[in-house]
Amino acid sequence: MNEERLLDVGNKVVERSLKLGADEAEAYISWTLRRSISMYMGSIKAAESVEDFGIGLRIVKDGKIGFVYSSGRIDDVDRIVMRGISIANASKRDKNWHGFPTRGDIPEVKGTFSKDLTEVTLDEMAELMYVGMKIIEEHKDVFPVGGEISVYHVKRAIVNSNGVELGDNGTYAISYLEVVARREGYTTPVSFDIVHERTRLPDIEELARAVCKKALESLKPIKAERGVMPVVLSPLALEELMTYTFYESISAENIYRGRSYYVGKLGERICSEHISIIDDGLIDRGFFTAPFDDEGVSHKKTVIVEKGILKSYISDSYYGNLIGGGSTGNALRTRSYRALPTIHPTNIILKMPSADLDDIINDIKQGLLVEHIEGAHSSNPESGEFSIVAAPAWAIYNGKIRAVRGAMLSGNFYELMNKIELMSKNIKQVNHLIAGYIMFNDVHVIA
Amino acid sequence: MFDEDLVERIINKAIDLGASFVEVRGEDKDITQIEIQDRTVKNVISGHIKGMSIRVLYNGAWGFSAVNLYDKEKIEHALMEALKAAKRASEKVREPIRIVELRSVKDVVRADVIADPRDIDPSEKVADVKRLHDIAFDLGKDVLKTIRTDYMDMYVKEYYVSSDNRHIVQERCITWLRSWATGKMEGIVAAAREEVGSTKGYVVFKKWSQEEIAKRLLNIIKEQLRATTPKGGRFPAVLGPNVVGTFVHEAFGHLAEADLALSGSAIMDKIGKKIASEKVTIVDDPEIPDGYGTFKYDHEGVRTKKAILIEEGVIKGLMHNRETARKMGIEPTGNARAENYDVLPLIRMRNTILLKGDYEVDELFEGIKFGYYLKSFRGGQANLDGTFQVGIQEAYEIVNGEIGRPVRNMSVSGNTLETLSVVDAVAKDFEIDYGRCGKGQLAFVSSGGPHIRVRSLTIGGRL
Repeated sequence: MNEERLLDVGNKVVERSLKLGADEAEAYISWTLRRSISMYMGSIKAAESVEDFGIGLRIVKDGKIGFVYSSGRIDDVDRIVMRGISIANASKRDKNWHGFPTRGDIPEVKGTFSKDLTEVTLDEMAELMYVGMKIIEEHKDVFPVGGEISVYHVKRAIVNSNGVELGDNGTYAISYLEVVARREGYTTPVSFDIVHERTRLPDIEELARAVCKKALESLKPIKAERGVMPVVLSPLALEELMTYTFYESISAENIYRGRSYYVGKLGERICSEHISIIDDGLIDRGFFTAPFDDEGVSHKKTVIVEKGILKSYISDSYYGNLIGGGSTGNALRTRSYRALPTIHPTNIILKMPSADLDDIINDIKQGLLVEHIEGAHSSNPESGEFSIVAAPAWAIYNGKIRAVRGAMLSGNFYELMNKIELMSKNIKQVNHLIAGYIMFNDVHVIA
Repeated sequence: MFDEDLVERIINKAIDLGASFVEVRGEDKDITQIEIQDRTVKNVISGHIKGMSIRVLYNGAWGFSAVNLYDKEKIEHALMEALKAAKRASEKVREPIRIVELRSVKDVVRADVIADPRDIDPSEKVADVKRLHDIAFDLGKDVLKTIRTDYMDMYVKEYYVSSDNRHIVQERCITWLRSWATGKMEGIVAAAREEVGSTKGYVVFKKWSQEEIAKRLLNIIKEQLRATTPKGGRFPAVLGPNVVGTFVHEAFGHLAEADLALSGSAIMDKIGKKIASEKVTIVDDPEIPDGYGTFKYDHEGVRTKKAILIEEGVIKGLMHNRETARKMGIEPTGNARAENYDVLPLIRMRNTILLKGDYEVDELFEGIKFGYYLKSFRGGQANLDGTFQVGIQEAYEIVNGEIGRPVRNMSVSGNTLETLSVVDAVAKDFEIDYGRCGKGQLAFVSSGGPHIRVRSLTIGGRL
């Protein structure tokens, strides 16, 4: 299935939609090939190869919008179109509808596709997992729990009745490993790490060594101490927390609905003047980098926070129009053609003063280092309140770390934004977030 | 869409090439979704998913391949992919996977549907859901701030053919509705959630009228708005069917999924031992009338049967698929479920219930000087080490055996097995719920039971 063919299907569907009575139409067509090797309890468990093709069609008729999707070969275009029209008819008139996006200048991006990665075999992926397992085996007292190496090849095409006609091709590789350490009857929390890549397989050796090191460091925990102290969060923990707080609050939909902490706060200071936060959908090799979003709007660089001042929200075309300013190219379909586009960040880059992680920890008298959190989904995105379990976590006493158990963090994420101090120099991308370890001051630790 | 001859040929070819077991699953599924926010119809969606997958066991490793752009070559190719993958994976297998093989069967199971949702015009469904909101705003104009409802129906035809000669066609139907409402009065905010469903087709509003659902939501909100906050500490408590259902699913059920148990959940070393009060019997039953987890065959072609998890306080068994059953030398229980054709089946719950006892509900309250009545839950989490935290959306004080003032922002926490050991009375009523469980994949599950009394439960404030 090549890209031209996807565009052909899209053009045909949009053309038929207009012929059969739609006022406007948008076809999103995607083809995905996922290949993965999974490991469970130290044994390779399954090798998978899953191909998924389908179309998502938005139809507008008399100001009403309907969405239909269909997987597999499209034998009968008219049937899908008619279904779309009947679904639109069942909906109610949306007075805020202002049309699908029009065609814009499409930027060039780098590092989003690798032919080599599409040609990696399951054999090679199994071999790589085996290398990871061998390294885990070399670590006494460490036991593999699970892991996966997945490679995705995604082709998509977007055609709408406003002149958008775009196609592209991307590759992705996601890999994770989970281990525990066991000694003298004590089992540590799961030590987990994940790598997001676009054009190559992960450095499995580095990943395996990292999870093993953290697992061993989690042995012999002491009880966490309660108090208000500096807390250093890993990029993994921070991404998790921001997903359920910050990313929600900068979404134009929540701004429009009055459900965001940041309503009416553009131009106001929301964190230290040393901090900038940028949504950049164009950065080389970014995990969410692409020339355009899932509505066909060009990706761009949006400065959300500049030197502590809130500068912009992120939006799709619908809510961008409602709050003013138009789309920032942040429409994403989270389940391919089966989902409507919703507002999500692309690549979120944090900028602030940085230091070596060792130096950051060295300067802390009493604090907490947190690798992973649980329960972030129970945060209140509107108020920013959260209460999470930190595990694995380490107490910091005069620059030395010691594993702890039973640590919980609670507070308000938007207030904590004012307490961000420093970031480590070793930066990586975890899902949307590109950052290092971040030190927050004055966090409530509950034991 | 499912060419039986082609599938047979593929299975034979895989066996010739050295596979020890092969299964092919096909799926053809229609879905309707409606999302209404306050008075706005936000989304109306109609989806159609079809495709097939092949799973091959070769030298103790699984190969899996799924396609939905199929023709003959594609399917053959998918088989070779699966086989190649399994061959390669099998070289690195430490503990070869083996499975239970079953006797041959040929069966066609039709969905037992009163009103086929595919025959109902989507505009009728939109109007019905919208009516729920109109009624809620009408009845709750003094308190209701926002209401959001998600509705979904799904009709699926599943095909299964395996190398142990099981040929199954099975249809299933799910309808599901969930409403979230928030209310506000004098600066106090309260939220309520209702979730209902059926396997009988488009009958949700026949089982629960819009008025009934709206009243339930408003009642929970109004009670919370005039409620007191809980005292922290350990108290006797009466748990309603909804809380019992959540508890047996979240806190206990996951520990008894054989894959999680074998990876070291809190009950693995307790099989055959008494861990709960003798009043407690918990089963995962695939035959409860109109339960989400009621179906004849699972996604490994296994005839479902009741999994007895706890019998009179003693842990009897786990929920199994073909693989874990083989490992433990028993028959599979039919708990393997996959969200779609294109993902591997996992061990999932079906209808997980605590069996009823012989107390009148009123009797449970008698003799409690001060305690709490936990009527319905909001959400929470359970951990593999056997601890849980659950938020309660509807709770009352019990004072001298009578239901007293409503209580808001209550959470309960504790150790699952300890809690089951202090159940001292089980009533003779019974109710099930309709919910969705996430374990990487989504599954529609039911859970439930009667009212029960526990001697002591740790009550806390907001979770």
